[in-house]
Amino acid sequence: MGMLVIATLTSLVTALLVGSSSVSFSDVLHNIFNSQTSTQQLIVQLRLERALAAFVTGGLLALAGALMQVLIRNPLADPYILGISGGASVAALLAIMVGLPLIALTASAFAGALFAMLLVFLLSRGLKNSHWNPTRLLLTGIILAAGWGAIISFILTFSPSNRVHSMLFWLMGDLSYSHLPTLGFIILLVGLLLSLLLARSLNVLIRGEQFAQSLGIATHQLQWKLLVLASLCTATAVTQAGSIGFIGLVVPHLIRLAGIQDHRVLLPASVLCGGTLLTFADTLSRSLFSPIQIPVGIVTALIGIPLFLYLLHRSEAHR
Amino acid sequence: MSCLSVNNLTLKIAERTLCQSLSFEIQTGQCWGILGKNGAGKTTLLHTLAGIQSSSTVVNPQASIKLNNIPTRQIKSQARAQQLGILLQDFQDIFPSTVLDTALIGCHPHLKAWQWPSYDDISLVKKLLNQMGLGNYEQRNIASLSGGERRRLGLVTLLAQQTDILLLDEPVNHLDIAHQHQLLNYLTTPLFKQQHAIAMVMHDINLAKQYCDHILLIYDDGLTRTGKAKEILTAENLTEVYGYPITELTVDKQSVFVAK
Repeated sequence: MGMLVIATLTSLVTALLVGSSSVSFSDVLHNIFNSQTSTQQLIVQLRLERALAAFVTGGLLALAGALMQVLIRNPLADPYILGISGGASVAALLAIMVGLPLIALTASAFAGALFAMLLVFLLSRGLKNSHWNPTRLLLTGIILAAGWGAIISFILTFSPSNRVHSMLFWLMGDLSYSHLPTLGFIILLVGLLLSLLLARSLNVLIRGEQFAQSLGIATHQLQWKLLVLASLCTATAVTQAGSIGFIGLVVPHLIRLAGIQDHRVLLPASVLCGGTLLTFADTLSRSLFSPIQIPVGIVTALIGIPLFLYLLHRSEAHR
Repeated sequence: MSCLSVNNLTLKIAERTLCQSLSFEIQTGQCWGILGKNGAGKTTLLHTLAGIQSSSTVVNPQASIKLNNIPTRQIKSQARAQQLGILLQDFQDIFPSTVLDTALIGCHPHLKAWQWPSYDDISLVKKLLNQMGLGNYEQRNIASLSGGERRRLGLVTLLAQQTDILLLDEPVNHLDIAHQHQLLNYLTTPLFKQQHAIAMVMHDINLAKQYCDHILLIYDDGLTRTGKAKEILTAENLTEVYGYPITELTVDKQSVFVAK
């Protein structure tokens, strides 16, 4: 945990230092603690906002992923598996197609995410108002996600070519529009605190629903809370930065492979690790081919895949 | 002195009656064996007694299930889990965990949200793991265990729950003959029985005869028969309940049931 905090701080500082124009460490300190305006200060300001946005988005995705994996009791679950990002994407692409300003695009994406969330809730409950089970929820979510995918392709096909480029950036995940993530930060903090209250029950739920009930856990209520928390975190993250892949799937497993199984530690560790990973990835995405910025989703995959394979290999060798 | 009493319980799944107006009482010092054909409703009955919900099972509203004379509906689930525990047929191992950590989950009902298992809890679980022959496996991943080892880990987890009433769904499933007797001996030693009320679903009639003092037979049509093991376990009753000819032989002055 201590190492993760250090990694987090390192990632944030690196994000301030690295970029298309060079800024030294003393400049950063000088500018953060001084209020006079200069070009350099502007750069630091911009980078700080973006780094914080990256951290919050990464944290939200990792938290949502960890919760979703317990809810569906499937290690392959990720925050997007229920089609919430699909709903957000469709709404965002429509906003881009019409040419709405950034703030309307953000609002539209969030509304789309919430709509997709409600749709999954309602459809997976079935007609008899019975309680859903994880399999039913998963199947409903996957089918809806496929539907959203089809609509996305449809929009891309019929959009003018000058708009398609920014649409593709949005779909691959992109932090370049991000501003100071105040709302995202609040949702991350509240989401983490609420899920920490559930964390010990999650340790039991992953061994089976009936098992958890036999140990005195009200599993139906617990599953509802998990679904709402994970969906809200996903909706917020997607609204902030588009659908950045990989973080939500891989980060909880990275923590598990490091030997942390207790969700009271695993959840905060996932937030820190997810935030750190995305901050590093975003710094790379805007500096690797600078001044050209590449979508951060590409970089998360390029970092995440070898890291994950290495840890998987190592954990098997130790067994 | 603990007891679990069932009065006038009728269980149905999709219009099929599993048991009709069942009444019986499990008390401290007793070990009940529950016998019946596959699909007769043994597991469903055990789940209902343990408060595990299933959307397909219908319980008649007149039924009363009481835990130490208090209707189970009025008991909070955590308080119930402190008095009554169940060994399910299996647990899930999709997410990795060590044997020791898994067994410690049994302490859940006794802990507060931010409490970690105490030193006492850990030494109790380690002692139980030793007694069940899993002492050297504490740090093993549960996915690497054999069927019999998983079964014994499940029992350790149940015993770590420290409840007075124990319900066990096929406790000796997957166990070799030595471990079967070891486990049932453990559950039926006088000291252990003095403090526990036990009910277990069994498939081996001879093990039930050897270790259980009371028997519940569940017939195909939902009828049930309860009573002392000696009176219930007869070749005639068993032939009827399983729908297959069973006879009683005497070998080395012991009587055993065999299929004809």
